[in-house]
Amino acid sequence: MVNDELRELLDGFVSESLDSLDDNEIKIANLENSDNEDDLKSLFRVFHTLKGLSGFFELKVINKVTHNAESLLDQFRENPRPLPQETIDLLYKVFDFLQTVIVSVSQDFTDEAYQRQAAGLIDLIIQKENEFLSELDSTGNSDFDTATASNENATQAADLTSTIEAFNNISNSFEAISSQKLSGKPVHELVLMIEDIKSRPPVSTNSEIIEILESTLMILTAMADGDVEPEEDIFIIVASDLAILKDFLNNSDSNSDENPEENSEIPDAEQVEIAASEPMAEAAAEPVEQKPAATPTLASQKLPDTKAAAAAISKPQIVRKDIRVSTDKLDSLFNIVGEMITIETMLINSKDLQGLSLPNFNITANMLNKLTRELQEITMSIRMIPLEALFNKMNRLIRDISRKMNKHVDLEIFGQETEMDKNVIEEISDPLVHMLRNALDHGIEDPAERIKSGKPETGKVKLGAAYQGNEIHIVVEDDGAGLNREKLLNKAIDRGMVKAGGADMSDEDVWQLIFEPGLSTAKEVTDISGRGVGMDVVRKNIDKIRGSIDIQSKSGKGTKITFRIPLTLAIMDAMILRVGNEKYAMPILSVMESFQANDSDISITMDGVEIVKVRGELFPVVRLAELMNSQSDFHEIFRGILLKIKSGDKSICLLVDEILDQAQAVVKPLSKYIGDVGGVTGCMVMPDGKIGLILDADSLIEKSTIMSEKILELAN
Amino acid sequence: MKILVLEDERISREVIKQIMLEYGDVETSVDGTEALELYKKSVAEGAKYDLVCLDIMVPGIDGQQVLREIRDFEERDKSAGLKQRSKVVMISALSDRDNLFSAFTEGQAEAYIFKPFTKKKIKDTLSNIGLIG
Repeated sequence: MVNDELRELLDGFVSESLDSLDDNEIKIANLENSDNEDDLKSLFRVFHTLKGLSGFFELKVINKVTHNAESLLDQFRENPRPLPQETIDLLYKVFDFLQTVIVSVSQDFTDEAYQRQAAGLIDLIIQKENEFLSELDSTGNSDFDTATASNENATQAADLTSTIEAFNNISNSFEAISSQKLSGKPVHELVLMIEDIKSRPPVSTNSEIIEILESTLMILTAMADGDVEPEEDIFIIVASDLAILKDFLNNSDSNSDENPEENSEIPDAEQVEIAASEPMAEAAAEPVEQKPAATPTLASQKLPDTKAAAAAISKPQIVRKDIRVSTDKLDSLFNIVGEMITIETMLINSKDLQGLSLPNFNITANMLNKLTRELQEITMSIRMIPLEALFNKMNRLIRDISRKMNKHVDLEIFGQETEMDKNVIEEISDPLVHMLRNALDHGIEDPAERIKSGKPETGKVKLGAAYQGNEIHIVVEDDGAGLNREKLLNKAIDRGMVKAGGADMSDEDVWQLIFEPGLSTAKEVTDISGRGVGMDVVRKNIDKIRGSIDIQSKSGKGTKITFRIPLTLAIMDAMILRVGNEKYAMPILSVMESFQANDSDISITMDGVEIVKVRGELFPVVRLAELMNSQSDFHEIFRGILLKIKSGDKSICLLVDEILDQAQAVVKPLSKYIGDVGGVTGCMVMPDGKIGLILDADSLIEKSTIMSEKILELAN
Repeated sequence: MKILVLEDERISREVIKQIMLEYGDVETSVDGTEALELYKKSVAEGAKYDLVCLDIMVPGIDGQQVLREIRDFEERDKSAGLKQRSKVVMISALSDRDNLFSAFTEGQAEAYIFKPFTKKKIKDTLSNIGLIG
């Protein structure tokens, strides 16, 4: 896997896990007084999820701790009862420990540094589980000696028992390896087991034993890697090392049995600490306790180790670069910023101030204006995220599909840094998958077919994004077979979507047919595409975010599909226009230029369409007054102002009476009961406090074309 | 060990099946809806799968959905404790955050393997989730 990809996922793991720990910590406390099944279940799920994810990211420490915690909780799940105070405290400790480790993972990308602390914690968990089991077992006939041991000795005894158990496993595994002269995986597993026992008390605090085990590990690792043959003399060395370890553990065992009184006070302190779970005390103990213990007595060595573990578990300093905020809050922030900008404009243009000379006020007003603009930009950017993650996902998809279909495809990605509103990205994800699947399935030909038509064997698919004016264009382009006009038309006629003939349909209109429900031209239906299901969904999704789809296709050359997505324009710069008594706003990004025409540049075509010549090019003139059914100041075009606006490859010149101002338009959608008003995106509060309509270049142009066609029809 | 493999692509299916045959009896399915039915049938017959391997992009309901339905089913089946639950390993080419995290959080999957995978990866994963020694 690409490193960046893993890192990105790991970042996700860190923030999601920390959130989930935060969210669920409260549930630990709930368990104290009742055996609330739901809370137990959620905690269980938290551990299970973390266990799975840590396994995926190969974070062994987290994996082990969560595994044990999960198994402890499972006991309570199967035998419902309130959790004892000590278990509650332990769960808090586990949560704190996990938070610390996860935070460190975000920087180190591994959790290895916490192996020792984890071992101490795991022993505590196992001990609690054993205690629980022995409580259940009313006969007192428990499998675990530790559970019946006195409270004072419990911690150490549990340490030792689990370490001896681990040693027995090592010894068994080694016996199997040496008797059958195994190599490879079993040896590798033995290495892991020895690594594990190294981190367990009392082994972990004895440097002599650790040194011996290090050399054992070197031999075994070489053997696991195949660098050393599994020979008799090597087994003898390892066997002697393990014998030393065995003696050491036996000694520790009798040691703690012989001198129970010597230790009795210290573990007691440990118990108190668990019960109190006072992070401050632990933190204070840290500097002293974390020094490696040099005391030779085994019994006293155990304690510092467990204590160090407890100390390291003190509340972590969580450094988070992101926080999660509900979208509701963001929406209100948007609205408030919008209102603020409106009020600011109204304030500065207040009628009371007109005609006054206010130099100081103007300076302050300018500063306020600058600040509100910055505020607006930041507010807008909160919801914007780069397309990179989405595109990366597609990368993997292409690889998988091309393999499934035995086609060779190179994917070229550009513009992945382009930022888009998060909600919009979610909406275009499915359409994009559809388009890419189609490009591979219908577009790119089989390698043999490609060679026959003189193309390179490997097909090319481009996926990219770019800003275009007030839109973002997302492009899927392939160099495949292209769309087949005849096939598409025939199919559409078959299904009754198009009236017979269709010869007068433009290519662009024919291509758009692919988005009609139930139309598919694939030779056979595959599981990838060709069911004709989904393409209509593509258009629905794009419509939902007020986008549009352009298709360009050349038979034999390929297809280019462009999603044109409007930027989220809740607030935009606009020109304030006047026609008669009405005021309108036109987004500045839609306006190419504004000018007053000379009478000599204006003419009327034979169809009765007024046109204006601008630098040698002819553009139709559209009177806004006519489109909006309002009254203009004058009839002559040259008296008014012409705004050249553009949509796609069509441009028109819009005639208005006057340009009044430039302002920040805060778009308010029109109420639904008004219905679909052509040429308008919404309304806004004008600088004078009155309501005005915001014009939409695209639909204005569309509307004017329809009107001129109607005029033509009438004329004919 | 009883194993169910959901994978619609022939070659992957064969490969996974061959690897899994080392550890137990393998049944395969090419369709999510069918796989879920197989799972339910196995529960009804009292011989649950120990391991379920799910591809995500498959005909019928997708692998994530199969996983969630299996867990819902187990949730309703009160007798099933942790140890009786089927372990689920997702094997998919989808490597995005959403799919990965939803498999573990909503789906409570045991493991997730990205395609292309190696035999070793599968073995390591099975050993990591405690299915093999």
